[in-house]
Parts: sequence; C-alpha cells; structure tokens
Amino acid sequence: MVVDPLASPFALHETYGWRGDDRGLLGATPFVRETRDEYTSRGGYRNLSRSGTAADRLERLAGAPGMGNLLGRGGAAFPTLVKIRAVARGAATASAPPTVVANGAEGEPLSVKDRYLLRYRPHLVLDGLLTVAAALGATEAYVYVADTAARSAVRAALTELGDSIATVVHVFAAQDTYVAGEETAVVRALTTGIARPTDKPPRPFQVGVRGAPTLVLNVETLACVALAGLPDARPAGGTFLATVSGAGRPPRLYELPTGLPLGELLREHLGREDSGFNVLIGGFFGGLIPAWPDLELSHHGVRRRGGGLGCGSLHLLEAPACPVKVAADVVAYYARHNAGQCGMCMASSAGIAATLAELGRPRPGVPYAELLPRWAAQLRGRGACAVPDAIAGLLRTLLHHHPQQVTRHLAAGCPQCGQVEGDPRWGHLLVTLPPSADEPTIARAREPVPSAMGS
Amino acid sequence: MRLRVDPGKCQGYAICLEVAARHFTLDDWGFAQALVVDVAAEDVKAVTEAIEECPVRAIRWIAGPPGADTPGTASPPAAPGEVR
Repeated sequence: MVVDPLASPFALHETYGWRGDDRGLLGATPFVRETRDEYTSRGGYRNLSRSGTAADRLERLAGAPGMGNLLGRGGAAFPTLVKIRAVARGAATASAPPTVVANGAEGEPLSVKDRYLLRYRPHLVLDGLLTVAAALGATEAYVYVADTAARSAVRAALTELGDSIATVVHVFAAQDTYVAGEETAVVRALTTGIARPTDKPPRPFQVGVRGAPTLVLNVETLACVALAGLPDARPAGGTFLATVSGAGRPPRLYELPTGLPLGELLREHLGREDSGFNVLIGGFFGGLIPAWPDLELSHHGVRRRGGGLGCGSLHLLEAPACPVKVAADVVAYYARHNAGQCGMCMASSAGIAATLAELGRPRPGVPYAELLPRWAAQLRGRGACAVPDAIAGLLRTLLHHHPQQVTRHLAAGCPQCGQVEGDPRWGHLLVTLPPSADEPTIARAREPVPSAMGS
Repeated sequence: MRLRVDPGKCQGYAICLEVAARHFTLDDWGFAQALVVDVAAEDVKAVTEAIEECPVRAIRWIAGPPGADTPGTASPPAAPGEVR
C-alpha cells in the first residue's frame, strides 16, 4: 500500500476542547501560531525575570496547583516534580550546571499532539521550559524537535522573545525516527549527534548532556507546567491531549479531562457508544485492548486494565478489523524502526513480526500458544530502550484480550492476515498534521529523510 | 548488588551460562539475559567470573536495590562518566 501521509484519512484538521473554553492546552485559535503578545495577554511569562534563588523558584514551581500530581506526557508517566527534584539534587554536587530539554521528537506515528503544541502554542512550551530552567538554575536549554514546521514556529517564538530571557535556548533538529525521542537517545543526540538509546543506568538525571545532570521533559508536560503558572490556573494535568484516529473517521486532536470514561469520548467521536471496538492505545506502546466504555482515560485508569495511556493516542479498530493483523503490523514496524543496535531487539522483533505475519495461514503444528507468552515474558525490561517492552505488552494484551482470535488463527488462518509482498504493513497506522505555509510543496521534498534506522 | 546484561553489547557468546548457569539464560534468539537480578553473597564469585569472561564485557553490576537508578530515590547521582 502506497500511503500519501497528507491525504485523508491521515491528515488531522480538527481539534476539540472538551471543556469548551480556550484556557487549556489547545489554545484559542487552533492551527494558528499564538504570538508572544497573545500569550502574554493571557498571563503568560509571568516569571521571565529571575527573582530570588533557584531554590525559591523551585519551591514556587512545586507549589503551583497540581504540580505534585503531574505525570510526564511523553509516555512513561513518571512524576514530573520527582524528576525535576532529582536533577536539582544532582546539580547540587555536579561539576557542570544542569541542562533542560523540551522533548518534542514525537516518533509515535499515531500521535501529533507534541508537534501541534510546538507549531501553534510554542510560547506555552517555552514558558514551561524557561520556568523549569529557572527553577534549576540552568543557563542553557534545548528544544529538541523533528518536525520542520514546529521548528520554524519555535524559532519565530524565540525571535519574539529576543533578549528578554535569561536562558540560552537552542533549537535542535532531531532525527525523524521512532527511537530519537527516547530520553537517553535525546541526551546522546545532543551530546554526540547520534540519536540512539543507551543502556540504563545511568539515566539523564544522573549523567546527561555532556555529562551534566539533565532534565528531559516532553513538550506537553512543559505546557502543563506553564498552564499551572497562569493566573487562575486549574491544577496541572487536569486535561491531556489525545490524538484519536481510526474507525474510518478523520483523526481529531482532543483535549480531554483526565479520567474521562472512554464511552463519552466514543459518543462524541463516533456519534454512538459502541462496545465492539478495540483500541491501540498509547502510540504503538500501550497495547491493544477492548474499547471498554467505562475505561477511565488516565495513566492509572488504563494501567489498571492492563494497558498504557502512554502519549495519549487512541487508534480505534472497528470490527471486523483483525487484532492479530494489527499486532503483526505494529511488530513489523518495530522490526524495521528499532535503533538497530541491540542484537536481542533486532532478532526478536524480526522473529516475532515474521511469526505474527504467518498467522494468516493455519499453523496447527507449531506451539504458538506457548511461544507467544514466553516471548512476551522474555522481552520485559531487556532493551536499552523500551521497544522490547512495547512488543511484550502488545503480545500480552493480544493474548489476554483476544485469545479466541489467536486460537482461531492457529486452527483456520485468517483472510485479513494474508501478507502482501512489499507492503509496508504499518502504513495505515499514521496521523499527520497539515503542511504549513513555509513547508516545501514539492512532494519529493516532503518525503522523510532516510536514516540508518528507518531505511 | 544487581546484575544487568547490556543488550547493546551481548552477542550471545553464552560464556556466562557456562560459568554461572543459575544466573543466566539465553532467550529464544540466543541472547543472554540475567535470570537472577539480586545476587546472593555466595554467588558473587561465579557471577564475577562471568562478568570477566564475557568477550564483549556485556555484563555489569548495578549498585543499590531495584529502583535505585530511577529519579527521586535516596541514592546519590553518579558523577559524570561513572559507571554503575
């Protein structure tokens, strides 16, 4: 299947703020870049002048509404304040000053929310970045972003700020690969130019960019930090961005109240509450689970049901979409788009992708019922990054929620699972933002730059 | 002390299985994984031999209890360049 990434049904042209006001992450003017004056008129950049000590600023940040409960929005859902404090503690004894990084690489093909924020709300992200930089006494910060239009928007925003900021902000062109946004890959790219993960420990809060303790925060996390600092702020993390796609509907970027039952979102998005869907949740990372109407859309809520909300994306699969085929498509993506540096990851992703791809034909003689769970168990926690964990989670949710489907495949095959030679299987699992005016219009120039990891 | 096989280094030589069979296994693709993450004192000698015999030095000790290398725990951060 040849995919034009800008064609419907992949290009996202709609946003929807659940609360119906413009005080959240999406902003007042969707798909139009907010200027510094507009953002300042909403109360932004209140802390541009660095008054008091870094420790005072850190306590002020910690005291902002909801900060203590804010979880990172890059996918791992780590408590943001805990991470900030860990860098502050490391910086107290380190020889180099700490560094802060706004991570907007967004390698997940089913998520566009980070690019959206950087393109259209760059000041919200920069305010968050400058706030945490000031709280840590960092003099240098990075915005790490792959999307060209997002990079232009951030540069324009920085030009508007001029010399009014005390932090030097570098805009770094990230590689457009799946693994480039993993936090050790971010640190490695900023230090050496090579955007591939390193084994942990140490983590970036211990040893980061050029050895300095480094805070890597997702751009939506930083936007939440900035929102919590605005006048009359609601608690940080009260809403989150969700890229919703699939089910034959145009994709839409939602800002949802944290904890909203999935059924309410389905009613809005599809016009009906239907229990017959599955959902590929959290990019390619959170598993393939039934779209339970009572699924609580929060990190805790999704984890309780065996999945992961991750970066907040939801790709709906309408019956009769075969969950085994979708799992095979995702693992095929991982087999092609892993970092290409860990033997166990390259071998296992290729092996599992090939196995799942075979399930279109009956395989009564092979003990897949034993192999698939064993592989899921063998991959957990093994990788330098979390690609093996993603494959393990996908297999686990597939076996747990769709055991009859798997059994039926082994016994009788599946017409949907037949593989077409040369088909990039994951081509349908994609959401893009529309091209902006300053992007090249030559089709050839829009094609992703081949990289060692992807091609 | 905990044990970790660096997935970027392991090439599946399987020497670790020969010298510390109870602590390592191979996955279905032939790469080593640590079976026992928290190593008992009496096994440290065998595991140390596995670490030293690994042709690509893929095995290492990680200091502290599980979770010590995640942010926000009591363990002090490593100095730049320090391998833990």
